[in-house]
Amino acid sequence: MKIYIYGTVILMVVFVFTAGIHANFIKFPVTKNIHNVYVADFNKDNILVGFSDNIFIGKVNKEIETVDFAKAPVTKYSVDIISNIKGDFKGEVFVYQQGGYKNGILFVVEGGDQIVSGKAESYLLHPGYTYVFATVKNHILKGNLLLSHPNAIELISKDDNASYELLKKNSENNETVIKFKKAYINEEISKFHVDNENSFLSLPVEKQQELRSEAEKFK
Amino acid sequence: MKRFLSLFLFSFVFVLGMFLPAGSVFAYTPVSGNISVNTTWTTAGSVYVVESDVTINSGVTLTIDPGVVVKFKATTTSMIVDGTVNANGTENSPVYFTSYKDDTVGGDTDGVSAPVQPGNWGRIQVWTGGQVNLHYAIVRYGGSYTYGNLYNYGGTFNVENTTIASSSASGILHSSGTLNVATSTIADNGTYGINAQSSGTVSITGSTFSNNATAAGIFNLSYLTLTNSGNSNPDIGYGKRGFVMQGGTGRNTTWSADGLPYIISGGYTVNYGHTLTVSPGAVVKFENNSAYLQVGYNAALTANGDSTHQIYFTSIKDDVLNDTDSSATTTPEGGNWGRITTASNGTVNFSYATIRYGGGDYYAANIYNNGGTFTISTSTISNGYSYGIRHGAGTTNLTQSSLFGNGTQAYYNPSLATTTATNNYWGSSSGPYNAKYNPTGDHNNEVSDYVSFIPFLTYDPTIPDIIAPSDPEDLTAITISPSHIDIDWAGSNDNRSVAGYRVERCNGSVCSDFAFVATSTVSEYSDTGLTASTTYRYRVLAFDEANNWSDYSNTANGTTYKLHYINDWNSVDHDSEHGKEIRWDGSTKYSTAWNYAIDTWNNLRTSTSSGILIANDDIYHYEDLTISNDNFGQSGWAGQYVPNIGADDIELNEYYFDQESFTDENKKHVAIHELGHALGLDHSYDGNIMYAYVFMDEQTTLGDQDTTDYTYCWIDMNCQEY
Repeated sequence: MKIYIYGTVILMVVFVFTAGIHANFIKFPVTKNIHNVYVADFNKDNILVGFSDNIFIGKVNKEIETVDFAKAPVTKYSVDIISNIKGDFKGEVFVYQQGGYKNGILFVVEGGDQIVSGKAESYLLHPGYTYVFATVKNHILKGNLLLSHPNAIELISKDDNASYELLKKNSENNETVIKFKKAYINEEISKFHVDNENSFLSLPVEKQQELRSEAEKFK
Repeated sequence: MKRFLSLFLFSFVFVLGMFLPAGSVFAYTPVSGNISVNTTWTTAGSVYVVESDVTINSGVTLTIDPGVVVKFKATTTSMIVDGTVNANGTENSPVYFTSYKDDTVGGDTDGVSAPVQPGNWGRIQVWTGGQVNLHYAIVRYGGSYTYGNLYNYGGTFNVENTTIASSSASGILHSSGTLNVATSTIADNGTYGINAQSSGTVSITGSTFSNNATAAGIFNLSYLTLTNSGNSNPDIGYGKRGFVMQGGTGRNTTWSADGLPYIISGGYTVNYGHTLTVSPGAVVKFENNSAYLQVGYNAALTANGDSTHQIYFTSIKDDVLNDTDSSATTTPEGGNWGRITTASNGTVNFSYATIRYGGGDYYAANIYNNGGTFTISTSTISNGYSYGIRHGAGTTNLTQSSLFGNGTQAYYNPSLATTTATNNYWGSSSGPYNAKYNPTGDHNNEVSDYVSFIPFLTYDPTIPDIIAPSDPEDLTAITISPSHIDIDWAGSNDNRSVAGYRVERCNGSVCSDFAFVATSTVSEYSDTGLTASTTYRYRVLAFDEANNWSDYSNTANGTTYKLHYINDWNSVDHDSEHGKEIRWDGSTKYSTAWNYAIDTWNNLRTSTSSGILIANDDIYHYEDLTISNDNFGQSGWAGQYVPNIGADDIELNEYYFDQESFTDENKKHVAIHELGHALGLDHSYDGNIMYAYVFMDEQTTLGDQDTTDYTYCWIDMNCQEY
């Protein structure tokens, strides 16, 4: 009898453990690096901005789910728009970030260690924090995919209680926000970014002039 | 009767006294003949009147005390010195040598009021072996029979703080021996202040010349050695205010900088095998259009001034240094003098020299090369009658010089041999006119054919440049390799030209102990031999030819690459490798690229037992790696390596692979790159397959760092093996 009890307990433990791993309830202290080879030099601001369909300041509401994408996890977030640099998002948008937990192991895109060590407190987006995002429209995910290059994201604020107005005002002095605004008027669109949206030259002339004038102030 | 006689005598003396000039002194000490024992002339015996020649015998010293007056009675009376004369005057009590008729000192010795005149007496003459030392003496009104107040015939004159004046001929006539004149005044003499045209040694320092009727001095350096400095001739009175140089040089000679110019009156030749060196600051003037300076066969003229001490070769009418011709109204013009010329094998070097107003003879040029070598730099050649330079034969090199105001052509080369005259200023920023090569050049400064004058300068290089280059800007550092960083910057501007940049560096991102690294002539520098994984901080500053320096540029940091780009084997599950093999499974429609990638890495194996084998799996091997492709949409990446549990995965993104502009080379690059990750290699830098950006070029071969890292891992076996 005992053996059945022990066996049942062991099976339950194994089941719980396996389920915990599978559901990422159990998280191992292991990180794996995904390696991408990029089609444009995202070290350069004008190229990164040109490759992005949207660049915006947004506050992460919550993590929604983690799904498999190209044999690796991507994590989906709900983000409230604070302001736009490129494009015209309003309200809530969904942002996918490459990486996340899979079988209890954290996958990050190479270079994510820079984010962990310097630019943010963690690789994965943090609910309640405000970032500047550079995203592309991904028709497979049917959402906005944060470019996986480290330069595509910057932490703006950790203040979960700040008003959106205050977050917007404070973001205007952020170095990355400023350099993205300056880069937008001189963006360079990669030949591989065939489905680009919101290019600077697609804007009305008056809007282009307004953005140029704004960028001029930063010189 | 007795009373009558007394009255008569008194009356006679009284009347006689009324007819004598007031203050008359009759008493003097007459001297003449040989002085054969050491003798001192004292103030008690003064005035000494030399009634006929007095000769100081050899071995005998005549000492003349301060304040003593020596008067010479007639044109035929002189002091002949075989021994020694020491005239020991002081500033307040000088010793006088003057005429018997000179009533201004020692009273009216001759008892008559006849005017004193130059040439009233002979001279002080020293023979070979004799010596005259004049210290605070005044020698005047001598010089009868053209010998001068002083005449040196083989002995020694040491003349210090002394006035030599009012000779009927030269103040001093030097024939041979040694003449030293220091801090003295040579004035109002009938011909030259000093006349030395034979031999011996003459030194003239710190002395003042004035009103010498012909010139301050005349010298012939054929056999004479002259040293001179610090002399002057104030712009008052008459006579040429300079030293006339006669004949030529018969030995290596230096014309040093002096307050007086050197005057050439006729043809002056630097003779065979000798060098005439004209020192910085010296001025040479030519008196007329038949005056020229010729450098003879195998002889040399060197006139190298410096930026603050120009050398001049010009007209006597040119008032540089002083109004040499004592005619304030004359104006110099082209053709005032002849030329500077060379015979074959003669050598002339000019730098920081000004040659102007020549060309007054047949050749019509300031400079005429007749077969020698002229090397001219940083000099001014102007106002030649027809030409600044005329090249007849030989070699003429002209650079960094300024030519303007020459009558017909700045440079005339009638020979058919091209001469070099690049990097010169021709009076205008548009360069000299030449119908063939610079038709838009300045017509006032023309250059003939057979003169290579391009490039020319747009500024006058002979004018000192005191303006520093602008500061270098936008300094950036670009890492090239583990030992190499390139820096570049926006170059400086300069009113002339930037000569170079000084590159400085220190170790660290915020260091301040910069040290010199190198000098670069362009606005970039390749810094090699650096330490891997090290940050360096750079700054640069610019300088020009005149050694004016800019301020520093901004600083820029660069960090050298690591020695190896290997994944962290403790954080990456390297399931893709087993027992020095990678067995792969799966498939891709980009098989050409995939197979190319496999071959690329396998080709690095030096033998079947070295390196790592990449092959597809079979029934005997589990797969370590899976290859596949799919459309992942816009993502920014074309390929992805995922170190999953079990077999690792390589995913190729069809969204980019299937674009028309995504070339076969791009596909191969991505495949090689992702397979490199499976081998444990990390992203490295441009020029290598493991660079993270496929678009950069169409590289399909491994770079040095790729090979280095593969070898490090799989040939040298430095990577941990699962």
